Amino acid sequence: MSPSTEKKPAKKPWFRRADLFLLIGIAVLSAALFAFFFWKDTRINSPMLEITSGGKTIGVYPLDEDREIRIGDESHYNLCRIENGTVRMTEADCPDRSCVRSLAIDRRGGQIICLPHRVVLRIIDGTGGLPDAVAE
Amino acid sequence: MKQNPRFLIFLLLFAALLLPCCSPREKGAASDTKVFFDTSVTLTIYGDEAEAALSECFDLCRNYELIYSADNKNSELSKINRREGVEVDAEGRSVFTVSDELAEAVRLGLGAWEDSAGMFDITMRPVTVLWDFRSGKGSVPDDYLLSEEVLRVGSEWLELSGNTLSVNNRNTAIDLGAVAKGCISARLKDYLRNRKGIDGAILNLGGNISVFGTKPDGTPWQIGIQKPFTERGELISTVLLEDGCVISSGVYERNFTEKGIFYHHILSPEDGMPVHSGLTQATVIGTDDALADTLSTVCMLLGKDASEALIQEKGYEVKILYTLDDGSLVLFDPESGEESVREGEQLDFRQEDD
Repeated sequence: MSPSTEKKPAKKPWFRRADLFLLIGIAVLSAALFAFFFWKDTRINSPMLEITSGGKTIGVYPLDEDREIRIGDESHYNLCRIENGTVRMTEADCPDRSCVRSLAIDRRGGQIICLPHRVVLRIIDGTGGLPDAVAE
Repeated sequence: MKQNPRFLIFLLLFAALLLPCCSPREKGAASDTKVFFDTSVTLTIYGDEAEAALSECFDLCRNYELIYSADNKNSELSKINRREGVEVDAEGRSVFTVSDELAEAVRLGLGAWEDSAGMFDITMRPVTVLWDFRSGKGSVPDDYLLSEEVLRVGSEWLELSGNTLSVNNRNTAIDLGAVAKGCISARLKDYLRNRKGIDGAILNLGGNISVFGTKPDGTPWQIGIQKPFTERGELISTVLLEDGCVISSGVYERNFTEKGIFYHHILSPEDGMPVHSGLTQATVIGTDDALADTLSTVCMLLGKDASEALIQEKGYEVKILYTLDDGSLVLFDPESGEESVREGEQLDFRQEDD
């Protein structure tokens, strides 16, 4: 039977100055990592214009930079314009020109199709707010 | 065990702060657009196995093109139209054993032919080839040529029994353009419904819309209906649906104007000329994609009153949204009759008892 000797050496403080620095360090690092992933995520998820021709993706473009994209070759072409966040087919030498007569699409979603040239302009990761599809 | 518990606490804290960074991205949705049977096919599928199911569905489309397409020279239908691999007897008859898929489409086509007293005819191919609407250009055919080709039209020359198709006239050629898309979307939907790992899907086959199941956010499917003769994407109405299809047919789809005269692709088998039935558009809302597809064309051919009478008589469980020549909208429900609809109005066809 040993007499319990609770006599300990002077206990070190549980929380020291160095711990505070470590805590702040971790918090800063976490915040930085979080910010990085958040930024990456929104970059990936922000609506983009995807252009495919004959089933092959020929480019993915952000909607916030105005530009004009020519799709096609010597035999036929479509001209697509990104302007103020909206996308239109501005010109095409296809026979039905139904792509040129399509409403502009924007960050909400949607697509413009040129059937004769098999060109599809499509918003990926759209924000929604449009019908899921249009019967025509 | 001499390890300071602080270390563990900090480690946990650190891990907790990292959690949001690696939370799984939204999974289980896949969507793509491809061109088949001269039309665009957009499929959007939800569920854990959406990605795999999407590519399987496009594989199926590729197969269906090789069955139904009259323009693909390797298709089963093209071979029938060329009478490839069969004998044509002295009377011009030939007999084929056809696939289940083709038999189904021909059966539907012949059914619609009877329903419409001969106005809907899957043997219109010689005439449609002359008009050439599919190229996107189209031109008025020569009178004489047209009158010659109209003589080749007639579903009375077709006989279908099980998978045996008899074509009893050497000049007959079949086009399943007004039937096949409905058959295909019904088959794709069946496939997806019975496949594991799929919660729901919206199929768009050249403007024929078909949906089932649920979306990840739980909202109902919302389907717009194209406003005739305006920019593509401008809507005349929208429909809320749980499970079913919305299929439109109209004179605004494939048409051209020559010497001031408007010509469209809904043609009469009697004279091979465009039919003016008082409608610019007929939209069928139903649950049987294949029936709805043929019915949308039948409505355009027969006009409002005759098609309403047909639907009543046959007891087809569909609703029709007609756009009349003056732009006004009429909704027909065989149970409750006609009702006028304002432009832009949302029509809720969700089942109330769910």
